[in-house]
Amino acid sequence: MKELLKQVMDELKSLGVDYADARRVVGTSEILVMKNGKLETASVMESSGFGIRVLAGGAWGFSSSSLETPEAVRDVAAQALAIAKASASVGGGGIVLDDRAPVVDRYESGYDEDPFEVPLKDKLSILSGCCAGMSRTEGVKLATASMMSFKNDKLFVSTDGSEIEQLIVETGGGIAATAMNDAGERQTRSYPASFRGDYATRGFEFTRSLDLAGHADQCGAEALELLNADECPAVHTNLIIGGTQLALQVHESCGHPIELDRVFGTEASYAGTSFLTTDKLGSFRYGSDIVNIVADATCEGGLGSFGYDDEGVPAQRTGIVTEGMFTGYLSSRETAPRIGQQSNGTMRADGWNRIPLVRMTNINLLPGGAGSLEDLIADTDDGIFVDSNKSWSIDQRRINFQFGCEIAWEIKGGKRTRMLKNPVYTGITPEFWGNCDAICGEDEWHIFGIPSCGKGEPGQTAHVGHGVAPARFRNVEVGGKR
Amino acid sequence: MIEKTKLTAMLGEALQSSPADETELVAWSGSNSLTRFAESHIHQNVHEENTYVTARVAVGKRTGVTMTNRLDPRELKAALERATAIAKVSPEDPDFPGFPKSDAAPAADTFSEATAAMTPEMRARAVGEAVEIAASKKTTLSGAYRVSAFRFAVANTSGTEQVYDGTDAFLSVFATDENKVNGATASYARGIEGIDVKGVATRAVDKCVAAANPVTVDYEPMDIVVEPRAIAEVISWLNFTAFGAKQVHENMSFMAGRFGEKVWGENITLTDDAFDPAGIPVPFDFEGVTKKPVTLIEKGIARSAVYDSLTAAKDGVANTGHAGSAAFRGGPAPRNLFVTAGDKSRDELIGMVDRGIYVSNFHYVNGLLDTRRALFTGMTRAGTYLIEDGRIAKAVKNMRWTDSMMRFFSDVAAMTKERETIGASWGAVGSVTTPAMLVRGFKFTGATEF
Repeated sequence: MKELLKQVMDELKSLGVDYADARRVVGTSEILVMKNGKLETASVMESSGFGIRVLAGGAWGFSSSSLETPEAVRDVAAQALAIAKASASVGGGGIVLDDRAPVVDRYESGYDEDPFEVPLKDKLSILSGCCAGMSRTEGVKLATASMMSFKNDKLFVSTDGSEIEQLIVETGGGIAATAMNDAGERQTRSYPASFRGDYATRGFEFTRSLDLAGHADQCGAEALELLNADECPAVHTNLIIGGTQLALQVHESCGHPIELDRVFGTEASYAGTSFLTTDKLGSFRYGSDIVNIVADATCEGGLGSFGYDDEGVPAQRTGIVTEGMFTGYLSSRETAPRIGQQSNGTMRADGWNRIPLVRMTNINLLPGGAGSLEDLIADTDDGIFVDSNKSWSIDQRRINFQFGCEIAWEIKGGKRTRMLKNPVYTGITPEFWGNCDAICGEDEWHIFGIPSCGKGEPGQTAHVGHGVAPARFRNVEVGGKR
Repeated sequence: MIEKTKLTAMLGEALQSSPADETELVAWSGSNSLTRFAESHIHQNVHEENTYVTARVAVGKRTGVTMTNRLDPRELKAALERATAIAKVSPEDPDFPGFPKSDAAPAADTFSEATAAMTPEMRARAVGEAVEIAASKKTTLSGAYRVSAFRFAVANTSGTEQVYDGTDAFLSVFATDENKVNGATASYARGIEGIDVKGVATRAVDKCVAAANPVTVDYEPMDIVVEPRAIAEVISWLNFTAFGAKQVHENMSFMAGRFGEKVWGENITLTDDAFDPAGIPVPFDFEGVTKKPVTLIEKGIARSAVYDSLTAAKDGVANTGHAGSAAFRGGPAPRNLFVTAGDKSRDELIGMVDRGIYVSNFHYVNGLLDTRRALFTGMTRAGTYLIEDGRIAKAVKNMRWTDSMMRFFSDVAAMTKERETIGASWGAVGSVTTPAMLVRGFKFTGATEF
């Protein structure tokens, strides 16, 4: 297949296209979901095929197929070229890519234990133990444990002469206990993060390291405790945000707005644009002096780590927010030249049948000097500590956001006091990050892997990471249920 | 798209080769094509041809699932063997009723030849027409024009064999003026014959022009006149959290424990009817079971959820034919929803409001705040206006809202005679057909800068 795709690249080049690339992906994924000890989902999915992207007359065309015969490959190439010509008829093309030397390389993400070699019964045994642990708490009516594993074998060739092979393995899992009472109220507590848990670009050793079963009792107990907890009050207060929630805060209010294709309007009709317009680069105060955010696709094990993006650009680390100032975007070979830069390697597609888009890698809030979470709480006279996401919503320019969390605790006199349920907080992105006055240190810092970042039409799901440590924000509007 | 006889033969052969006690095969074969545009030029234009088969097998009451797009008979057999291996080590599900036997679904209007034949050049011409309309009003356009053509087949060892050919078409248009003010709308239909490109573009551009110079309004509970697209978005969310038997079993649904009780206003009836041609017909589900009409909410009273074979067996009721994909097991969900019409015109709804907000679109709705109360949050977007003394007075900046959809649908004062069919936000073929509504006391809870 590699030789065939290279031949087609040569043929397209001889037809005078501006540029073309081809990606072949063989992907395998496994989803296991157990509820109350019953296996709800046990699926293994395999998908293989190739896609060809052509830039001709300054406009893009893309076509793809699961058929891998020589005829199909040539048909797909011809179709991609025809689509590019059709694209050029509206708006007139004009797309120019950055200059880049060809790369010939092979990259493999490291792993100790291939998740697809671990016997299924061993995985089910872990999940079963989790359900049993959560169900030990009377009042827990729904005990959910899940794991997912992914393996992607990718080949990239281009008319520039690049030939890149990558093998990327990702795993993870999570548990959630839902307690219910006679009044019909339900409260859920999850570990290590809500919505399927925590994921990494590692082998099954990562899933084992989560010790899901070891946290099952605590999840069950806290879910039950939440049913009887006081409602979170509506106040303006000091808000400490735990890592699992802060990861999503970074994701929505920083990660998406720095996607340069979004800034240029390509998502306008769907999930929206960004308030971080190009005139703000280098001059806009995004947050307080202690806020430093990087996009880093090179972090070992981060779910947004890889060797090369899907344009063949090497993984990189880029400053996004530096001492509070907005200093960088996520970019591509097409978008970077529009601001006088080179791509920083963030174009990713979620399969052979999708075109790459500018996507988050690991968008990391760097650790601060506030010590441990307990130190930060001790340093807070009055406030609320929230963690674990329950709901999320942000406006079309990523300014006004609202998050609901699973759990909160009141902080009084530097101590965590009563548990609070149904916490919600809301804010305006730059004001909120401007009020960040403390970030915990390295020991609390962890890269949370989110395997479900949605973007684009047709919809694509990216696997991204967010390194965070708990942080404190002053004067945040916190409310209970409306 | 694989030829019909070849596809059914392939499934039949694979069923024969399965080592499991029972086997179900679900195949999707077809193409998706999409032209995306921004700032009035095409920036993404893609085409995909694919065929995939989902194999679900049972060994006794243990089940396993694989999905593959490798269609060689040996590969399909290998996929069935992997599914069987999964089933053998899986715990038994005592509720598993076996794979359902279904009668053949009646014929439905599901396929448009013109849509299947649409070329990228035709999509580009349509986008070009829309862009010209925008340019005449000094606006630029973003959006997408998507078409799909597919063959969907289900076969199982209980004797179910169903195949249908389908198409759908979707056009979204989002207009932006020089001050970054927006207006948006969209159209969804079984085929491109149902997409009025110029009409959609004109409506989006007109909304954008009318949205110029927005003012800030204090956020507080206010009456709203809300267009069908926004209503369809919250109903689509309720599909995830409320209308399926799985959500009821897990006590997630606002209807759980409340069947026979009034949960919405008595002027609201919500049904699912897969064969109603006013929506987008889908004749059978992912288990090959012919869809049956279901009244979910009748004059405000919760009547029923929708079922697949597993949830129906658990409750001892009839399977309604609403199964989802076995690979993901989100549970059964309705796909062709209808809200009963009212008796007013859009202008009459506006005329019933002394001071309120006209909402064209919602944005980033999230229905997970408290699913038992159907507590949602979201923003307004791309066409939000102040109503004063029964008429639209001026554009307003967008606002956040946080409100219970139990309360929302209990306080609908009036609805339009006309209904619109909106493409389902869940991404698969399906729709919500709904009128516009006047809702009293909608809870706005925040503001933004535009």
